[in-house]
Amino acid sequence: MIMRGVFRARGLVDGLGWGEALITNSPISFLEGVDPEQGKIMDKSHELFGLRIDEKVLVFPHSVGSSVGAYVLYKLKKNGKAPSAIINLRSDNITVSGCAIAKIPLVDMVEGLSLIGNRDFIMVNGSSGSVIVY
Amino acid sequence: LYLTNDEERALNGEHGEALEIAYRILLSIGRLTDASHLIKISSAHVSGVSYSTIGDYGKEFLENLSINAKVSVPTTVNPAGVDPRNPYDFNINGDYIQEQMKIIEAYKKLGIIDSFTCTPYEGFYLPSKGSHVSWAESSASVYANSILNLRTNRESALSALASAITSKTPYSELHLDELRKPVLSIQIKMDEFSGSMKFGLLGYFAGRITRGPIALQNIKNPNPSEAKALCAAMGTSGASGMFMINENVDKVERVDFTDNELKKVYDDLNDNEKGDAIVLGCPHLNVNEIHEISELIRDRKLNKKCLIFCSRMAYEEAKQKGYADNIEKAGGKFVCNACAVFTPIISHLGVDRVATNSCKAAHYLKRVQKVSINLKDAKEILDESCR
Repeated sequence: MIMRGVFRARGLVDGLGWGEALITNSPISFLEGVDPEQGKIMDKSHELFGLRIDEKVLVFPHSVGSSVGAYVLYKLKKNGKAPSAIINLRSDNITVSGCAIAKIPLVDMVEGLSLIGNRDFIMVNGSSGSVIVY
Repeated sequence: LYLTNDEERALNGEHGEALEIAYRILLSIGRLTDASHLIKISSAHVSGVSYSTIGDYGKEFLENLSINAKVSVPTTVNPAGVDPRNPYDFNINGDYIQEQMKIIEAYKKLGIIDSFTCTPYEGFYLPSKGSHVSWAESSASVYANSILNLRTNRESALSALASAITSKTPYSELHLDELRKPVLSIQIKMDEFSGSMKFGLLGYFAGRITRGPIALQNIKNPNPSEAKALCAAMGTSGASGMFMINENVDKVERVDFTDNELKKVYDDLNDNEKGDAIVLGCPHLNVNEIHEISELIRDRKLNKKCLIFCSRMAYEEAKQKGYADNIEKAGGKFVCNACAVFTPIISHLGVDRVATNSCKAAHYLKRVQKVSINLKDAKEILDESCR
């Protein structure tokens, strides 16, 4: 696989995760919007409605809604349905603490985020704060 | 973010899984808030106790965590979904109670102080002025910063719990002198500004307009009840964690608060002329506030259900002093150690309209319990509800 670019980011939750990018410009409410049993977006008004997020690199601006959302990320991981990494535009307390307890690598403020496309294969390094696009 | 060798080792799991998880949370929040390092805290207050808020996922997380973890600073906790000692009042479903009790057990295993109140500063452990603490429960964190002279960020259930276990918090935001200065000032342009209702409405207005500390100009210092209403409403409508009263400020944006703004905020919260049940105690009432209510309704009879939420500690003191008896004789019902909003009790009342004196309760009851709200002073509510 050929590397197309390496982008710097702010590393928030340590770890390495890779997979196909699943991108949305709409914030996500984990409590109301994600089914932790199936690993699917269940919010009918969301543009990713019905899509699976497990093993994807989920790219979204930030989360909204109940702070219980953090526990939904934990549950997703326990069920083996969690994204392999998360990229935020600018992250927030809910996503950060949820990723921390679920051990999902998380970065935000990625330079060149707009160059990443849906289904690109990407690798996120939450420890060093970098995103590699293949 | 700089970590000491010992913190690094804990983060790498050398001191067990619970500490590893706790440090992962603190490290990540620290990076998010641009902290330079972690500092020691003197106390923690943890939210996320009611089964109505954290649900099964939160419960499972806490059950796992509590197997091998203990808090390492005095740690109070928020109210539960029902009174842990009298859970079967109001015919609450047995499954709900069972799950709620598991959450309480997990917290007890963690070694918390069984405060079960959103007002831990009234009667429970309080560190000395100037201390760094880690308090969740927005009304309590705003109160800590603005009234008690403590320093805390607006913590979440998870970050406060991580701090309780490690006795540390990221050194960022409201822990720093330079970030405890007002970013905006509100000029209160009203005569006779007093009472919990007005302070509550001001707080709801203030919380909406900035995330930073807010200077409130041209008002008197609030008494404890007014301060509680102000802090709770400010925590409800926004992310700001601190206000200061009549502090000299210059070079910050100025916003006016007049009768117009007051009315607009009121109209956003109040959507009914009447309530078929009364909810008081959001935040939990202290013994003086219970006394005031008992004076308002002694020797009278309530003509609708009236729930009064407080800590068991406040209730027991009110019982001793005879205040509670006055209220119970009039038909009022105390609910100890439970949350007025995140509870199945409200839906068990079987009413669509609730009267309350709390802006915070008005906001959440509407959204969580789907009832309409009549927002009024306690005196007005009780006067029109008594025979």
